[in-house]
Amino acid sequence: MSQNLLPSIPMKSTAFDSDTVLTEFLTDYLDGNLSTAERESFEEYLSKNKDERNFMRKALKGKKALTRLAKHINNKPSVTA
Amino acid sequence: MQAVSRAELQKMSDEDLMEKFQSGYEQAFNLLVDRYQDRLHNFLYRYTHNHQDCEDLVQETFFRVFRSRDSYERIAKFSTWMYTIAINLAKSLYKKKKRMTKVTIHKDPDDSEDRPMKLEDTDILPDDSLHEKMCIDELEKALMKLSEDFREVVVLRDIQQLSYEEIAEIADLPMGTVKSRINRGRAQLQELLENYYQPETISA
Repeated sequence: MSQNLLPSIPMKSTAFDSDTVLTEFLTDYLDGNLSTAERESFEEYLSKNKDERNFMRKALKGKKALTRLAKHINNKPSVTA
Repeated sequence: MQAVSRAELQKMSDEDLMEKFQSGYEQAFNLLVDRYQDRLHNFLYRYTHNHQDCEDLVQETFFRVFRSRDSYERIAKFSTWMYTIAINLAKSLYKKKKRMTKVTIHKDPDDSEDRPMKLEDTDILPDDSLHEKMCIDELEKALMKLSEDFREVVVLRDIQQLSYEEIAEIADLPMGTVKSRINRGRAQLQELLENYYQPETISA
């Protein structure tokens, strides 16, 4: 994991910072790309790990907020088109 | 307008050059072309595998940058903004080639893929959209508070909806770092939004 490439931010560190497999799982989970078995297994992991569960919740909500912003930007007519 | 020498311009960041260009210095645009034309060509070649197409796309990308200079906002790095325009043009060209039609890419204003990225909304909205506008304002403010490293990748992923591979290419980062930064950027954005909405402490 290229951790040295990550900028320092004042957020609580989680296992996602150091475990590439978990990062892959989280990414696929947020994108809705996990199989049922994988999703259940990941959710079981989250249920037992509070910090990671909290991080996932924030990432999910952040993603939804950005999707809303994207919708807003893409719905605006471009003056240069 | 205060005169700026070429030597001074050469020391500037891409974003500062873009601002100079927006304020009327065409020389700043020429410097951006010098900085990026080869890199852009190499980048586009990975999509097109055709040097002539790359030449056309590079030219068209810079034409779009020139024409759309006023729509650029520092919410995104200049290179991110420019590469996004280039990718959209390359995708558009690919679609047109697939349809086997011979039209020039700059003559299709109805093609949504062809439109330049617009990051700023300065329009006045009707009253019933006021609440939504306020939420969007908070979101944009929070996004601007993210570090540039995080902002770049979440904009490319969640606003521009590029693939992880494309983002890794543009940001010149390993895929794992891209994914990690996207997740962290999203989480940090949400944390900022939650802080906005926390009730203020009232001291007696």
